[in-house]
Amino acid sequence: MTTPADSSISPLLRPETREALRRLELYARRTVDGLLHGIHRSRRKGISAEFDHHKNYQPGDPIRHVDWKVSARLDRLYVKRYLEDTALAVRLAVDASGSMGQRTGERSLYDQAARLAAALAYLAVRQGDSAGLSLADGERVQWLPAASTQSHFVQILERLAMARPGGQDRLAVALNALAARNEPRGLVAVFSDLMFDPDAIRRPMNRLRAAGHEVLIFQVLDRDTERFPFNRWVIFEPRESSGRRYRLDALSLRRLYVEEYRVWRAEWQEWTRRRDIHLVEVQAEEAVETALGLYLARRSGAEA
Amino acid sequence: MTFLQPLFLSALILGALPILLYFLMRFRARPVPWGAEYLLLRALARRKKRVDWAQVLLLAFRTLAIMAVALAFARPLWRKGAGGAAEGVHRLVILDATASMQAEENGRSRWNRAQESLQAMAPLWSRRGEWSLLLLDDEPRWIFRNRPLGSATEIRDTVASLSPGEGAARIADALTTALALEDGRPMELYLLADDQASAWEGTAEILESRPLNAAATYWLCPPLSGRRNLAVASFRLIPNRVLRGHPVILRAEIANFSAEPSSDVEIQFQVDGAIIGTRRVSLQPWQRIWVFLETVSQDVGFHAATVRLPSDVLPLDNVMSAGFETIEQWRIGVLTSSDRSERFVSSYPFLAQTADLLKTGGWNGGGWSVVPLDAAAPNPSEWRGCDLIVLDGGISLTEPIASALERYGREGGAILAVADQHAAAESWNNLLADRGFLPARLGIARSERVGGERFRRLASPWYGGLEGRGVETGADRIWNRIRFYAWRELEPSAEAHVCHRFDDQSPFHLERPLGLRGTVHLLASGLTGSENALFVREAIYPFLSALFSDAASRAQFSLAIRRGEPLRFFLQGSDPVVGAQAAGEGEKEPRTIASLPAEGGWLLECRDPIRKSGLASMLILRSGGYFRVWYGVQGTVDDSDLTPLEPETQNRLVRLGGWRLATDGAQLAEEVRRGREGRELYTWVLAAGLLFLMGEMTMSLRFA
Repeated sequence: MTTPADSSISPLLRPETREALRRLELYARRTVDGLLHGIHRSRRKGISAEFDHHKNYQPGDPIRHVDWKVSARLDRLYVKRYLEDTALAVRLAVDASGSMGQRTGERSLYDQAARLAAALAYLAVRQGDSAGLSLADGERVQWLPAASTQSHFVQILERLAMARPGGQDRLAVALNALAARNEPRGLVAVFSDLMFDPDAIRRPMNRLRAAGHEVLIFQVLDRDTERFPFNRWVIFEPRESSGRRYRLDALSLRRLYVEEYRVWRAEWQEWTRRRDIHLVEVQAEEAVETALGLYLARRSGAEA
Repeated sequence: MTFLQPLFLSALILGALPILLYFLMRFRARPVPWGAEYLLLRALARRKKRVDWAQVLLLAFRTLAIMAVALAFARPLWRKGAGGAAEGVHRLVILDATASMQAEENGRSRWNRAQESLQAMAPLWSRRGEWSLLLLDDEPRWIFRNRPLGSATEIRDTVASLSPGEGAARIADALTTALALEDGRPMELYLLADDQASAWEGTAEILESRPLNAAATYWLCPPLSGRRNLAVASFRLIPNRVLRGHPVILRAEIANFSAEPSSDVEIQFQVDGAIIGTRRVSLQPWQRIWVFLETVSQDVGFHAATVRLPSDVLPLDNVMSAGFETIEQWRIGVLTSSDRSERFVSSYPFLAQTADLLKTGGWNGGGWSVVPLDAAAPNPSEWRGCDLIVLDGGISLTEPIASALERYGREGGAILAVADQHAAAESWNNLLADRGFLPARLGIARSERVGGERFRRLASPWYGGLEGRGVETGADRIWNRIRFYAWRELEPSAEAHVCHRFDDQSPFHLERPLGLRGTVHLLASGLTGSENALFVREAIYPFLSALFSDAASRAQFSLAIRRGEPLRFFLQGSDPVVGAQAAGEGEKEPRTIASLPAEGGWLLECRDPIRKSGLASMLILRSGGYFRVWYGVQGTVDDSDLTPLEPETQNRLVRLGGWRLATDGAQLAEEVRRGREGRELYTWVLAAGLLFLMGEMTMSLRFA
């Protein structure tokens, strides 16, 4: 598989990342709906080699699916049902709100989220699955349908590269829109720092899950956000709400903040655990291939 | 609580620095773009629900640490019960100015040390308080009360102007007086007194019944290593009016106020400043002895005699003085009656003959002249010219004579009543003894054969009550060799003083004082020469001289007085006094003398008593010239016992009074600095500061 050489998108998917991802495969954890033949189990019962169950013959059923041996023995017509393999549609929901602009080192949370999304898209497209994008920045939600073509992949990369974090959070809007489209089941991968009211986003996530989608959350974490490394008066300028400033004695607030941070993470971990949603916590500075590799290894191990 | 360096208290304001900085830093806050607003708001919501005790604690620790350092620099002092600042404290000083404080060691007395110590305190006392000074002399005496504290120089000058007394007042009295001054204000009590056991008697009871409510009590007790003290307990001249050339005896009583014996102690006797003799004695612990020295004065006039212990710890009681007068002639008036002129009935012929014999016998000293006084016409004014009036059995006693004699005696005259064989006992008793004039009632007269085996002798070999030892005297004055073949039994009255006794202890010579200086003497045997061996003994002259001197001396005011007694002198003659002044030892300003007319002369009196022992004099100016009368102002030995308090007693007193003990000014100042009623607390404050700092660091780590 070739990759675009455009300088604007090249930082999203560096050669060493591609090289590392070449050895990885993404499998759907749930049955999925797909038009194309692929490596993932389809919800549709088809003609693939893998037997599923028998059912009574109904008029209209293909005669070739009748299991004659069983029918002769039981004196009734039975039809064999098979599981069908299909291609996986990976839909990337990327949070590009202002809070994703948070950075401690060279990389912002959005940078890391975009890289992760690009890597996952690359992985999907490389193994013949399709990848779509819902990019929620401060102004709008950009949507690209799932497709498995190279040009589409490049388009995803371009969108990710072009986006700049800012404005209010719209990820819930993007996920709601995704759920409303009633698209075939697939994998919905959310890339966000989750710095918002959880109820707003959990609702669409539940809807997506109810619709049969697998929801996967990549939570991008910032070191400073975690440690709160201030010991004096600080004016906090929120990235998502322009004009508001908080002049605070960080020293006295630190313990409460750190406690709240831990509680917040624990809440997400608990919520995702209860709903069998994979929550992948990725540090902003962490290598994408490493984080993704570790997760896919965990994912395949869990499946086995 | 009070502070030695109160200026540093202003640094307490630095304690506000952390709080100020905390809020100042608010304006120096740096802006930080922040993505996790959601979490920030959650944390803020939690903070609103509770007080941030950790931050409050951190600021408190910082503030307290700084304040502790400032407090430590201010040197806090914990004062028992005072509570108030040192500035408002009333400082009450009790300064022991008694005789014992003049005990010397290494050339400096305890008084000097106490003064220096008090002066050393001056810079430590704030100028905003008050002080009172109670001087402990004969009685506790306020020098001043509640005087505002002045400068250190002023305090030093005040202390330097004080001089020690010679009293023996008690600390208990001083504390009682001082405690009466309590008015509820914080008080610091400074007691500068020695540890003399006798001075502290009754103090424990006072302290137990009424504990000191002082914020601080300090006791400066100057050290004294040598406690052995000898003292001149009394000094007397016998007689204090003596005929020129006749002996005068200096009698000193020396006491050892110590539990250690003293050996080979030198005693100096001086007359008019010249050492006339020394004695060396050894004394056992607590022993008192009399030491005598006999001398003869050839100079007519007034003289000063002094006895001195040259080397001893307490200078005040090592010296004592007395005055005496040397006269040329006694004028003896003998009451005679023309109808009783037979021999050996009146004393007059015998006394006149002995006086003539003395005059013509080559005697170079003073003598006496004997004049007959007509008893038929008693005239006390005429009698004033005599030093002594002799009444014997040579006259018939009548009411006019008895009245005249009583008047003469009560106006200061000296009467020698000789109850010989011829005296009519009944009339003497009725007219004289029963009216309280004679010192005794006359009893039965006894008479033995002259030269026989039945006679009486005098009990003592010397005249004038010289019981004791150490008197050097010639054999011619061994008076108890004189034999008395006639005598009369006497019944002494309660007021009578027995001057001499016979060897069977019956009275021979009695005396009764009349008024201030009048006196009446009564002899149990006659002076007619017929009833004793006077004629045949060579002791006749000194015996009569001593007898006359003793009798006549008492008609003049004593020249040895106690401290505080007025100086008095009777000046014979009608010439008016032009002027008179008196002065005590070391006094620069003379004292005025009141001159009052009296029967037969002038009574001179210095009503301003002299309180310092030593020599005093009265200068009397008449139209014919002037003369000086010497007096000895004698102290007491009430304060001579330097025995210190028993350690257990001292510990008890220290405990009861809460005294902080010091031995010199530096130590006292240190005690005041350290205690000011307690301990200096800067170490504790620094330790607290350190704890606060550790707390601050712990809290900072918690925030880190």
